[in-house]
Amino acid sequence: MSALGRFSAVIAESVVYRGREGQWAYLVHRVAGLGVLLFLGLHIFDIYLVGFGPEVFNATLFLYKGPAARVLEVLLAFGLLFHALNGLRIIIQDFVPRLMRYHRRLFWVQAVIFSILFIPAGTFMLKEFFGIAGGLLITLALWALVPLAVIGQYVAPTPLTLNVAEVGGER
Amino acid sequence: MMRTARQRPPTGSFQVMSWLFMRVTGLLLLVIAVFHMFWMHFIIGVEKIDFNTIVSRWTGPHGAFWRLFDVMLLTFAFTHGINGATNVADDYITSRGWRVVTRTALWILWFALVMMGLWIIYTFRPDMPTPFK
Amino acid sequence: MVLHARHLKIKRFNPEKDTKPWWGEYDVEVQPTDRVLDALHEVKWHHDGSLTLRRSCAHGICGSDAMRINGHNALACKVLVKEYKGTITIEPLLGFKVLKDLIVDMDPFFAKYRSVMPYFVNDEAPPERERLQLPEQRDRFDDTTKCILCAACTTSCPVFWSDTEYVGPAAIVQAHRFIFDSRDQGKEQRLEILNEKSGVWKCRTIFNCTEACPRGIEVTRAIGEVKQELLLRRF
Repeated sequence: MSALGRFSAVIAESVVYRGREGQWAYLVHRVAGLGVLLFLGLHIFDIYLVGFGPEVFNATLFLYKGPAARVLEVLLAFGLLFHALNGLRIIIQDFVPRLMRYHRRLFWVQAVIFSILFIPAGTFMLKEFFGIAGGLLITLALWALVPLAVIGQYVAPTPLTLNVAEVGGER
Repeated sequence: MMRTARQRPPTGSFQVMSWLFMRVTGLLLLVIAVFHMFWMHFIIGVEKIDFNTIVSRWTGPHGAFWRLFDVMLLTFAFTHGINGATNVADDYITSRGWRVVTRTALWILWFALVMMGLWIIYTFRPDMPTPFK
Repeated sequence: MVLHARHLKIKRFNPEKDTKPWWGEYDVEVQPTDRVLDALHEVKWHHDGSLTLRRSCAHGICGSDAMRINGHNALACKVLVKEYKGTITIEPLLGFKVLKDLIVDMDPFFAKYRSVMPYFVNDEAPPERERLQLPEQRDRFDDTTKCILCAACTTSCPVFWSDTEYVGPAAIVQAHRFIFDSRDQGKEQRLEILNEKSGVWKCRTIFNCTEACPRGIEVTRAIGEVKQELLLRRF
């Protein structure tokens, strides 16, 4: 199986397999890390362009201006902040393994800190183009990703049954 | 097939150092990357950033501090990111050959972008000669 | 005796007849306090004798009836039907080749188990009576002695799903049991094995293994302790 096929199969399995907080934190951590890395590559390149003078550099910055860019900016903030706080939780657990007994609680503490920082930050970033209410609404839509996914694991009567048994069957 | 314990060659320290590196740089980035985001997006604001922002950042009274800050941010963040990406790639790529190919490609990308970044941070002058002047 | 009708949805696959898995649906009469294993027996004994599954002691000790029940790994003999609302969906463990219905090929699992030297190593001549140990020394690895090798942890691990080279939580738990045993002398060798690329460093602390363990072993913590031991050994 190709790497991409394997990647999407594991994502599908993670949806089918009813993991709890840790599994969702891992998925978001991984996707957020890759997303921030993608932006970082672009960002290094655009800063490199300051060497080509103000005309070239200022023209490149259209990438980061405007309402669509503001929404992507909030997505970046989501990725960076979640990856940072989740990484901190992982580091704390790694160096004090006995805290792993409270891993679910640690996740929810992290989720609360994330929410306190992210919701006002996202609203602030969006208010110029969408107003406070619009900004808050878009921010909340992104924010809901994590808690809803985790709560879904608790309340869903039966898991989704995507047919990915072939993945397990092949090995 | 899996080799038995006694036949295994002694292993190096790369895995443990890579693991530790991710944690140390992760903690540093928790401070500098989040601060960078806060500074550029909340104090300055993306809509206001242009060429002059860079000029005052790198050649102003605290130019040396900002250049050092940016060197640290660039190297820590991108190395952390590329090393993480190789870990992710290893999870999904099972063939040994393709693993080497992805790994090499990612580290070439790392070298190229870090060099581009370091070069511009070290050599930037507002009036530097450009191909378009 | 009050019987209730319960709907079972079981993933079936017979390599001799089927090209891909299909869902077998069964309505069975069980008591709420019956185990999911009893419901499976009901299907096998009264509905469809071709349903194939492993089970031996049926009391949560032999570790042979681990399967995915409503999307979560568990021992069919340790969960009651009343714990599940509505249809009970039963699938084989993820990450291993399905041999038939709920039976997966466990050979790679036991190969990994054997690779960590899961046996007592001590070349010194044994004393007159047993090798003594303080209660605190025994407590150090008490948690990991509980493992019954059911593979619920290993097959719940997303890293294992994608990279089957990963030695997996169960093998690390077994290694932990000996690494932290004060009487054992194979610690360095086992740590070397787990220091390899396919060893403990593949663990991303996802906690699916801890959540899945029917014996309540803190699997991720055991892996974390091995990592810490490897780290401390370097400095």
